[in-house]
Amino acid sequence: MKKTVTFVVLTALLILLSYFSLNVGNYSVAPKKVLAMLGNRLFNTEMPQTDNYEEVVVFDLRLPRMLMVIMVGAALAVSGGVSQGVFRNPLVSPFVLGISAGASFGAAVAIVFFGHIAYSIDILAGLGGLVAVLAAFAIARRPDGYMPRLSLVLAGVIVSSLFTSLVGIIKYVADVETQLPAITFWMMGGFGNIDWGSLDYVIYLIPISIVLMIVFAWQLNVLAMGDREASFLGMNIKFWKSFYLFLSVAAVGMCVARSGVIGWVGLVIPHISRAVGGPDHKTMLPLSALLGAIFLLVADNISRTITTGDIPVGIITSIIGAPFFIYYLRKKETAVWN
Amino acid sequence: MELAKDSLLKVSGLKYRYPSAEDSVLNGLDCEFKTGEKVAVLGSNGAGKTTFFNLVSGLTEGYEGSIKLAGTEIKKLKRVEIAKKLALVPQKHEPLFPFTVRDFVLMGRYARLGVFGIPREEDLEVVKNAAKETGAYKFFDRPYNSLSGGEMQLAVISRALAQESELLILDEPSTHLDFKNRFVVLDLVRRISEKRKVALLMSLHEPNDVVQFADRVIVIHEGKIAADGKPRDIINEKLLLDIFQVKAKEIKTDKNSLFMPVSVCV
Repeated sequence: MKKTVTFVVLTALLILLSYFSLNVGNYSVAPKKVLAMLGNRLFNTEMPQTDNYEEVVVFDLRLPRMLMVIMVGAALAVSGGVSQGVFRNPLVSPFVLGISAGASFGAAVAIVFFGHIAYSIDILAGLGGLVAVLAAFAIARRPDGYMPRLSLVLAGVIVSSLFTSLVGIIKYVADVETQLPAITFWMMGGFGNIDWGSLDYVIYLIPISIVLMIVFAWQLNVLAMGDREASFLGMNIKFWKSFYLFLSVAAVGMCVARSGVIGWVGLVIPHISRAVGGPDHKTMLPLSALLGAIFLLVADNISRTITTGDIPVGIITSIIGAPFFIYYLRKKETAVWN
Repeated sequence: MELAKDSLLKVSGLKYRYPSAEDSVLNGLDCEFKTGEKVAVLGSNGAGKTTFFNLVSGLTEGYEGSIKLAGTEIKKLKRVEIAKKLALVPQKHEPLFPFTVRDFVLMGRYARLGVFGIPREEDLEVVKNAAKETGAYKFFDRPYNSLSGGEMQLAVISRALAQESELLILDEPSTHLDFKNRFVVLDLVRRISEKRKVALLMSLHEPNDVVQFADRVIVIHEGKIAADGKPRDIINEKLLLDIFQVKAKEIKTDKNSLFMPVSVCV
């Protein structure tokens, strides 16, 4: 019951925020007009008097951007929750594990060397993310199969910094006029360039991967018992680990390919969700999806209104996320360092 | 009055060497376990008890010889099939996320639930009964990372009971427990075995616990089975000296003999 209320309240909040996002921005459009235009598109009500520009701003700039932010926020948070469960480690996220850095390396390679091939950024970002997480895993895992929590975090740091350096090398060979700004944009993370074209297939595949991760959440509960225990409880851990690793890397890869590297969402949001709705992944993952979308929507609204320019949203998420995580780590009852 | 007992687990010529080691840990083990038996495994630290348990529960592969669970070679069984026949209580469970004891015990139903893990009425009933039987029902809705060592062991045993298997393997069930909880746990599993006709296979460190709680003991020493039989026939001063290099004094009680260590011979 309490859970249902939480979900209803958060969904309402997300809808309100979405509407709010369509209204705010450097170009002012009267809220009444936005509502009337939405009514026209959705329910075929009477179209208000608008100049062409207002329609473009709301429907071709703000709406696709808002949808992308919601998808990316939800995908990063859910993937973060998934990686914490799969690795049995509350200190990890796609960012910490190096998935984001690996994906941005893939994106950089695609921009510089395969710019002419369609979807090369998506494919290489996904592959880069996969290589990164497997490398972090291989570094942290001891021969007997045991993986100390901090080792995995450190392995992620190693992999991340390696991939970041590789991106640095690529920057040197990149074309200064066109490719370099694109790479720099990817490293910072933001939604400044999103239009309907950026949503093409990810508008289907990101939600599908999120839904799949949520529907099989029970498996994650059992996986979080550890490999050995999950095995003797009857789980085919190779299958389920691969399933979750593949989906989370694919989701993060698609996010990075479209909006660059955005940190903290995947680390902080699952912790808040667990505090609100308990550790059961059946509740925790959908809650993460909602909270992740809300968090990133707020951050993106701040990033595009706080200055006249459009500052990368990754900066805002760090400014909010870092202090929160410091607070979390220093809490007495959070014994995660062992 | 010997009932007709089925062979639950049959091990023959079992050899195992760790990939990184030169010598085999287990070097030709033969034994058989039947329905409802309470078997203790005794051996010094590093004798290969945990390895033996990992092998017979199919967690470690790459052995020589044969391990048959209810007549089928364990290599050929899927994890989900093994989990229905055999439940394992690990030496120590490290809790991470604060699941309630209820949710934790429900995970014992994994092999019998669908991929979405939606419990049926009967599953919830099994979970509740398992917790009531061990006493974990008293803290059913508490986060399981807040439990004491003794309570945790009861929760883990409840989870194993929820598997409704015929064989319960306990890897040093009493190692981390105090004097009282050691008795609580061993007495509990003994009663469970008798009530549910579940076979027990447990490694114990204390020979007196073996005498008190098992009706058969297997002694693993230098990779082989050094002795197999009734505890009162097998555990004696000579065996303790051979296996543990401990000189012990036998103290006769009205039912059994207990052993008090006196000195160590190096």
